[in-house]
Amino acid sequence: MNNSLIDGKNSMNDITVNICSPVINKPNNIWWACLFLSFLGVLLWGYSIISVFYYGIGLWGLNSTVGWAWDITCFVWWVGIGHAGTLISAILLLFRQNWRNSINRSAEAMTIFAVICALTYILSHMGRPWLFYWALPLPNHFGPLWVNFNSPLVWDVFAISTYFSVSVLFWYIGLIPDLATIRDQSHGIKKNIYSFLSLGWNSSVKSWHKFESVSLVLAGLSTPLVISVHTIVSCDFATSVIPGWHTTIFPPYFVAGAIFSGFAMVQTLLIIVRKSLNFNNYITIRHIELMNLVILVTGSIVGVAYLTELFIAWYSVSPYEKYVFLNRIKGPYYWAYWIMMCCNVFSPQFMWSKKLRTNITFTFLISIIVNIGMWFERFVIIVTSLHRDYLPSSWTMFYPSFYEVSLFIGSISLFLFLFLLFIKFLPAVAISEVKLLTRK
Amino acid sequence: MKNIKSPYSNKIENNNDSFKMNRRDFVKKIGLGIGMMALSSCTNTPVKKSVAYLTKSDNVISGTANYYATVLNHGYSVLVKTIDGRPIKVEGNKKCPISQGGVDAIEHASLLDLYSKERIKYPSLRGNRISWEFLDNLILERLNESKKNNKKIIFMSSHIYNPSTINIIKKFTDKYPNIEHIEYEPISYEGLLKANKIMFNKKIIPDYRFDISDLIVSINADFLGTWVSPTEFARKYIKNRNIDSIDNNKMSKHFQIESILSLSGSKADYRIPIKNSEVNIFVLYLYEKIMSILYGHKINHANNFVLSNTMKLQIDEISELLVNNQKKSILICGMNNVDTQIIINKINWHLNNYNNTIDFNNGYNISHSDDTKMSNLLDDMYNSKIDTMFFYNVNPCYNYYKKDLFTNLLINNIKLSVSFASSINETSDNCNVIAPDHNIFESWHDILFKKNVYSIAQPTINPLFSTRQMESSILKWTDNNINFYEYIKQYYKYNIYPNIKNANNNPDLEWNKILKNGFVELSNVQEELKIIYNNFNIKESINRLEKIIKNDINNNIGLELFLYEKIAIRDGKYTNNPLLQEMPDPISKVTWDNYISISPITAKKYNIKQEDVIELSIDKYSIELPILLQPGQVNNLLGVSLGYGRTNCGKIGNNIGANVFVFKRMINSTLQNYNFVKWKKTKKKYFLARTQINDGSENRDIIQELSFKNRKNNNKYYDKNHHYSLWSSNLNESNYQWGMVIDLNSCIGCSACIVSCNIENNIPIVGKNEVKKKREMHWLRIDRYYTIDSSNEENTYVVHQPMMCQHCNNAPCETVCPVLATVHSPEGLNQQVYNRCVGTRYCANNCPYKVRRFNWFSYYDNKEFDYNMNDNLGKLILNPDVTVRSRGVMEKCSMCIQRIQSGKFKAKIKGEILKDGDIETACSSSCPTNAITFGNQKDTKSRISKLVNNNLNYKILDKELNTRPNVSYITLIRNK
Repeated sequence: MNNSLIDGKNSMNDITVNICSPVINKPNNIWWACLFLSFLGVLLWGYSIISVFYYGIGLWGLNSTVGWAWDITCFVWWVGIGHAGTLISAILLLFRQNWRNSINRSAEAMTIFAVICALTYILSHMGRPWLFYWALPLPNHFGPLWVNFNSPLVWDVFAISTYFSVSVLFWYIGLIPDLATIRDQSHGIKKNIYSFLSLGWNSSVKSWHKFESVSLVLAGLSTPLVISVHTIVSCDFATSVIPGWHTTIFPPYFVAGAIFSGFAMVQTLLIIVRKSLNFNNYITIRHIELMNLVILVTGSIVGVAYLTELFIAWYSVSPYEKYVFLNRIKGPYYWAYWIMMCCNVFSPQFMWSKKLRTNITFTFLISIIVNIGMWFERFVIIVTSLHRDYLPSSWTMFYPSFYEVSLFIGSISLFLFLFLLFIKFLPAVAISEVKLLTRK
Repeated sequence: MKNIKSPYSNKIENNNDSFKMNRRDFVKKIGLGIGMMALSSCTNTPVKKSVAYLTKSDNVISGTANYYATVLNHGYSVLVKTIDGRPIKVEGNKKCPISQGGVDAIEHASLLDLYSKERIKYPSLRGNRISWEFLDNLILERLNESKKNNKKIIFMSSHIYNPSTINIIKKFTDKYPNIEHIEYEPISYEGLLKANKIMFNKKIIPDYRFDISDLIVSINADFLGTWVSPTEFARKYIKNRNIDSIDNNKMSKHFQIESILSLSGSKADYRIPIKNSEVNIFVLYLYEKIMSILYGHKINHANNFVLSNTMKLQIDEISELLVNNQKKSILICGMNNVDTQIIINKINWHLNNYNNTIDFNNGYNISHSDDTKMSNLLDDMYNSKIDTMFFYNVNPCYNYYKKDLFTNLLINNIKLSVSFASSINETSDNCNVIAPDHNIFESWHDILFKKNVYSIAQPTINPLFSTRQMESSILKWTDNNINFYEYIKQYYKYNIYPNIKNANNNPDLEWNKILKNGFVELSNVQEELKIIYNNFNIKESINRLEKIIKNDINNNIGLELFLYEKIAIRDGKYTNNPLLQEMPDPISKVTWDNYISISPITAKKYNIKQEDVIELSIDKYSIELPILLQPGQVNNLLGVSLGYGRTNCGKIGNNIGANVFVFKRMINSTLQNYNFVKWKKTKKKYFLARTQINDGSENRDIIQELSFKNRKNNNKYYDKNHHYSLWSSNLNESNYQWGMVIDLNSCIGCSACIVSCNIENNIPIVGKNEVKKKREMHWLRIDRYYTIDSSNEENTYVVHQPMMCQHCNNAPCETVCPVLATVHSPEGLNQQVYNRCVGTRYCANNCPYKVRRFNWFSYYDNKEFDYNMNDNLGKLILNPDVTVRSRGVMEKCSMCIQRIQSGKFKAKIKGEILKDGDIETACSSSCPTNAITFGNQKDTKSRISKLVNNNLNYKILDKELNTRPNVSYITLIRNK
């Protein structure tokens, strides 16, 4: 078994040429086909979101009892996915985990696109999306009217906007040396554009020094965000009074879940990138194995959290709390609960086997299963808690409408569309950082 | 001077040249012009329609409400609130001795019929508009011709209790003796009326004094829902069952023996399910049992029939109780059969209830129907003896049990048919001439609904369309040039005025007083009640009853079908009213539909599931309706409500459900509301729009129920100081702390409050599909929970719990709103700021009571929601004091903040301190049973403070969540 982080004997130039080739050369037909398909999805997304803006969210399957369903499920899912990118780029950098060097670029890109998808859900879930800026603490003409600092949704606004801006900044700063590399390899207008984007990078020792310092500072800034963003997202639920939401375990449980699903998404994307861009030498089995280990650990944390919830529900002697969990297990949405359990608790346990966790096909399969499972986790938390809460008279069922499904498919397409553009126009692996690995 | 040029002179000289602009200027100007045109066409200039008050009457002040006393559909006086000349709300008339301030759902909602698109706007002949003169000539010509040819003319009307109208019709028949007046009611009390006529020579329904009776036994009579005068009965019934009465250690006992689960059954202390075909056996046995207790007679006849042992034991118990409660009990029966009613009357007579709890001196003049005349009429029509028919307030083409035959004969054998309908219906559709009547809000009437209460209905708006009151038309056709208003006034002067108690010397002043109060009490002679034994023979009655019972047993081929009226739709008169369609049925919580209700046990037996479609057939007629599993209903019986399946009443009511009037049948010249039908399961499914899907309370502490005996050992005693807070509150800043106490004992679930709230607060109607998605907008709902007796599954008890925003002092919704769109007022109100709301719905999710309602779509000016808010006429009903909410905004009960504000202003203007009872919310003011008490909790003398401190008071979910609601409930007590 090969344990190295880079396979083959690559000179510095080989690395540059290999990684830049998708950017410099014309894309192949598979890329075009994928782009076309995802563009169709983007059109569907555009149609759906415009309809929802135009007619109102009555187009969705929500009702008076279930006020959030697929919208917030998808929002939390996308934000959660983003977490792996920040973890890889920030925490692993601080811990000097070199294996992150070949995967951090794609992971960060994934973070940004995932957060964009999440933001579309934040906007579209509002009844009057054109007034979204009222949730920002802006000076206004309404007199002393301010936002409600007690509301977790306001915390969300801060958390996510900070997260998005820091992530974009971090990603862009990391890109600068690589943009300069592409600048040096390209001609014509392309060269002009990359020159502009690389901000006059000259690869001097001074530049490198500053670059390293800024990276470290940003990594330091991002590190708490990895924990804080999903903690705050979990507060949307934890600070409420709804049984099944009102739980102190939510912050760590959500963070673990976010990293869990994020790593699964990184796996999915990197296996595709590795295969399609021929980056087998840079994204090796070693990377995949290490990420699988993270999936195993976080998946197990999530599993423990599920069991803790069940225990506390029993231990609380609160009939409402008890009922919610019984309802999850054997109520009308029992299938969602058991899909969640199978995907999130049982499937990662296969990673105990070295043979399985180094098998690319199997990893790919598990990574998709985990993301399905994590989507269902949010669905179970949101819908099963809401649809049967305190007063039995208001109990309802939730059924998604066409627009919810199409928006979800559309947002995945949007994500893939952006990712495809990313691997075409920007280096999918951090050239300079991979070069560092060859020195050792 | 020549050389000096004025700075303007050049321009003046070159005036002609100004048109010679160069190309650039030309393009600029054209560009500007096109740009301006484009810009100005971007905005829709709103067309504002307004009419100036050229001659303003003194008492109409724009924006200020005036109240007028009038009478609407149900015979009691109400107040109509008008603003700027348009009626916008119906309120109770507290002084009215019949309703005592209560208003039912139909009276509230009938306001929408005034502004309905489906009203008939002008007189017409075969669908073409004609003038009233043309119509008058046409009819007069026909009347005279018929008179000459001695052809029969039929004037068919509903039962009329308006003395002037009766007089006018009499004049009409006097002038044209060939006119026969037939009173026809689709749902009548003919059996009871005839029994009273036979036994006491009084063809009226007596007043049942539920307020002074200790024992109420009702056999299939839904006296709280639809029977005789439910609004009045409800108020009386609750008088010795509400919290005040319970605190005085007094509570009546109520037995309800019934086939379906009715509103009255939902309040009963004991329910006994019985098939309608068994009611006669029940009555027979009860009669003989009571006679055996009282006089030692033997039980003969009842023993001929099978009656279960448990039922016998129950009857024995009821008989004992009835005998023990002589003079203080009421026995009523909903069976429309003379002989059954004679036996019931006989029992009441022997129990000495007449002149005590049953009062003929103050009876109801109601729902008489000439069923025999109607049968003969069909023969006459068939034999072409009739050439002209008039229809006033009746719709036999829809609700006569032989409607198809009637319709055919009307179309083919009647030369001239005249309908006075004010909005389209099946009969008016088949008439060649329509002489549209005013809407009830535009008409004058005098009313003698109850023998000693004379009321006046006065118009509250000028006629909106080219309509004319039926009475005016007839006055014209009888060559009376007096207008109807004068006619009523004269009638009053000569016939009513002399009978008025403590009347003013001047009849005109007295008249004004009646207009102001809405009614006047008459001094009727207290007549002694005598039973006329010569007129009837109880043995014959029993024999006839036995024959009916035997017949029923023989006919019982399939399942028994029981037809009943729904609280809101009744006989189908209100089917086209979207407010009433959307009002959930108080028991089944189904909106917008009728259905076959069946007990879960029977459904299991025949393998029928919820919402399966079943075909019912009799002879050649068959209908298909979905199934609703109804706990509490008797086994082996299907319940279907009347009033649906209309084909021509307007866009809203057409083709909803199925018409089941055809299933009625005639026995001994009265129409029966039960029949035996064949049924067949189809493979179809049909989904009902229910507002409550889960039926039980899951043993949660939401409902607190105690028996009358154990009410003082209330171990669930609510500790008001169980929570301590370290937080300071803003509640000390104000002298007011608004709150509501809802007495679960008084609430009968009639849903009048829901409709009242809808109209007061401009709550949109969303239609069946949205209700199916559980998106009804009602701010106030009535939660209905079943408690099923585990020993006897048929025996289900019901709790009604009105649920609206609880105005929590620690409101979960307030903390989570990101934009502070929901905030707490110092007066304890939880306020929703529509303008600030961005619609995240977090507040609704976090509300443990789930009372917040979201505007999923724009419900006004939206053709998808084609109800009153989609057209200018319908919008006239909107309350100008309440905002119409836009799409994407959360809304909920505001405790009628507009009423609180106006109450405070009124007090301030007068310089007085606000008194308890000065402000009432829309729900509390219209409640027929005063179940809802609104008031200031800081005022220690107020009624609400007393109720809040009552031992039986509890707050929902406060113990668990520390929400500290300002709405609290009084524990339900059953007299067991």
